[in-house]
Amino acid sequence: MDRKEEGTVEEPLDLIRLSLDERIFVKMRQDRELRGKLHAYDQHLNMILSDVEETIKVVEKDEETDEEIIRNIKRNIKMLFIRGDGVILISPPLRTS
Amino acid sequence: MALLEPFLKKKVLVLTADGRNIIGILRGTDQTTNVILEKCEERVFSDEGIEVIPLGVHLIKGDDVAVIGEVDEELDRNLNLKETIAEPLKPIVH
Amino acid sequence: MLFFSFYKTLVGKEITVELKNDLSITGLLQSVDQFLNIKLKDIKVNEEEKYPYMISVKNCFIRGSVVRYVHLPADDVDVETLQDHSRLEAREQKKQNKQHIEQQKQQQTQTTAQ
Repeated sequence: MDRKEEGTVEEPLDLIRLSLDERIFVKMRQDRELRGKLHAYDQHLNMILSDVEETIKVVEKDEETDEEIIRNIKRNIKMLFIRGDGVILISPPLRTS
Repeated sequence: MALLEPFLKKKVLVLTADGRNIIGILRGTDQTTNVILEKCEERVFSDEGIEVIPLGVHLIKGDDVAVIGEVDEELDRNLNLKETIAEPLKPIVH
Repeated sequence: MLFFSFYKTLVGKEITVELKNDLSITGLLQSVDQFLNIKLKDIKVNEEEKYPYMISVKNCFIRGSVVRYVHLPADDVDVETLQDHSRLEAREQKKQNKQHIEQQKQQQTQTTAQ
């Protein structure tokens, strides 16, 4: 396969291929977000990321004032497999830096 | 199914997608993880200990299966059902 | 196929499988199939007091479809090989998609001709 074809984006998944070995942003179902370096993916958007930071958005209701408080819970994971069916969107490095 | 074959005819615990705990003897499985259990009972977790409900034979559809565990009979006998207090398992949210 | 092959290289290693019901199960990877169903042995549920459902279980089967994440042993993951395999598989997949589209086009021309 020639160089030209390797570098062009014809299909959505090409964009992910070009993000291999780069840090990407992944939005997941249930208000979860991941940032990490992409090492593997397949057509289902199953992925492996390293040095991952996960942010979970939790909405809590203040009992007295009825006000909604948004809390972000963060955790770090060294090496993570992500099942593709939970993925909503993937954003390549440029837009996340 | 190949992965489940070693569990056949054994006592297994099935955690279902809607958060139930069903224990029974595994009589059969297939590619999609449909399972047939006999001599079933459901264990209902609550803040008043575990309630056991006998169910007979059950066919659980593959999509409703989350986890199947091989029950260690000795560990299971030592389980104190009345004093095991926990919230029911949460359902699977896709 | 990529992840199926990858998991086979991790057999015997300790992994933590996080499910879509918030349960996390740690154990030694025993086997895996093409649906990415996973079998673990010598399992421990994280926060067992809070989630005591599997106290009498040592070995278990987890249906691939209920997995959210799998925490992997970083030292046993060869990222270079993974990246190479991902590129290879992407190329393979693309080829297959193109063939499929060609076939569909041909079928359409045949139906119109009739």
